[in-house]
Amino acid sequence: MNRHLRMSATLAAALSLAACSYQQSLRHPKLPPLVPIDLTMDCRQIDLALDRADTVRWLIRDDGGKLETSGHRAARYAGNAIVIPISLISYFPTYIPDGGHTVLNAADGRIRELLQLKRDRGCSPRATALPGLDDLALLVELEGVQAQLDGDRGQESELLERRTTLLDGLRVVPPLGASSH
Amino acid sequence: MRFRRDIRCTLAALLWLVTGCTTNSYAPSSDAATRELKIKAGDEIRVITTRRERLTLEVTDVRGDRFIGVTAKPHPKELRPAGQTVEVPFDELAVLEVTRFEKGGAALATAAVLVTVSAFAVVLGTVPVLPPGP
Repeated sequence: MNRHLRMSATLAAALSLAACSYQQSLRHPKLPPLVPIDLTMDCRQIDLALDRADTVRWLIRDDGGKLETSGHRAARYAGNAIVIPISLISYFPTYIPDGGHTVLNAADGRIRELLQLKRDRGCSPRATALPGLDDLALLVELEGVQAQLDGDRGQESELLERRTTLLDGLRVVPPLGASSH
Repeated sequence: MRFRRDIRCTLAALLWLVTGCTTNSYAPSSDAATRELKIKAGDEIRVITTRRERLTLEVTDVRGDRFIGVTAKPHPKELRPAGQTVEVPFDELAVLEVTRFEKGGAALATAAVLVTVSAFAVVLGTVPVLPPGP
């Protein structure tokens, strides 16, 4: 019992430290999945929506957001089961946050849906920051990774890392100062 | 007695002011959604554009398709100095954060706090206190 408590406490402390690298510079909005009205977008609007969703995702990543594995999530829940009651008793309410997983996962999901809509509409692909890969080719890879994640196949941490790498390179962004506003 | 009433009024006023300020972050999906946020001249907003530029600006004018404003004291990671005139077209807007004073929310939160505190006061006031034993 003591050993379990010590392990949970150590894990909670480690997770707290890991979560310190995620600091919101401004509140991160949680992007919603596509709704029926979104399905009426034309190609230009889809690309614009992709730019917006990708920017939200970039903000989360730039502020240190990361995806967490199911193992990390379970450890965080266990840690919170200890941390929250203790913090409430000591009049300093706190908890172990998810390191941006929820908002990042939502952004990833919306981008994937937008790319699928773009493919279904037959829109022209755009270049990505990944060599030899346009955004529709990136979608094919992304869907492969997601299928493995959904089917519990492969190493979850590696798959999440692959998904993150792919989406980090989705867009070629012109350097600041190259425009007129 | 009057002094206590004054304190209560001051506390209620402070609570109303403190609880009324809310910061909300939005990711508007269209120009229409941006207009629905009802940003007006005088509001201070923080935005992230699709070019990945972070800006804090005081809005001076809202046109049909863009915000016009003057940059405020920059937050961390913001590159532009204060005092620059900038235009943010709605179709380049990805994230917008605004802090506003909301009267309705303030009144509700203040009422909730006052009712809770009063309830505690009533309960504590009516709990009999045992005299110390011999």
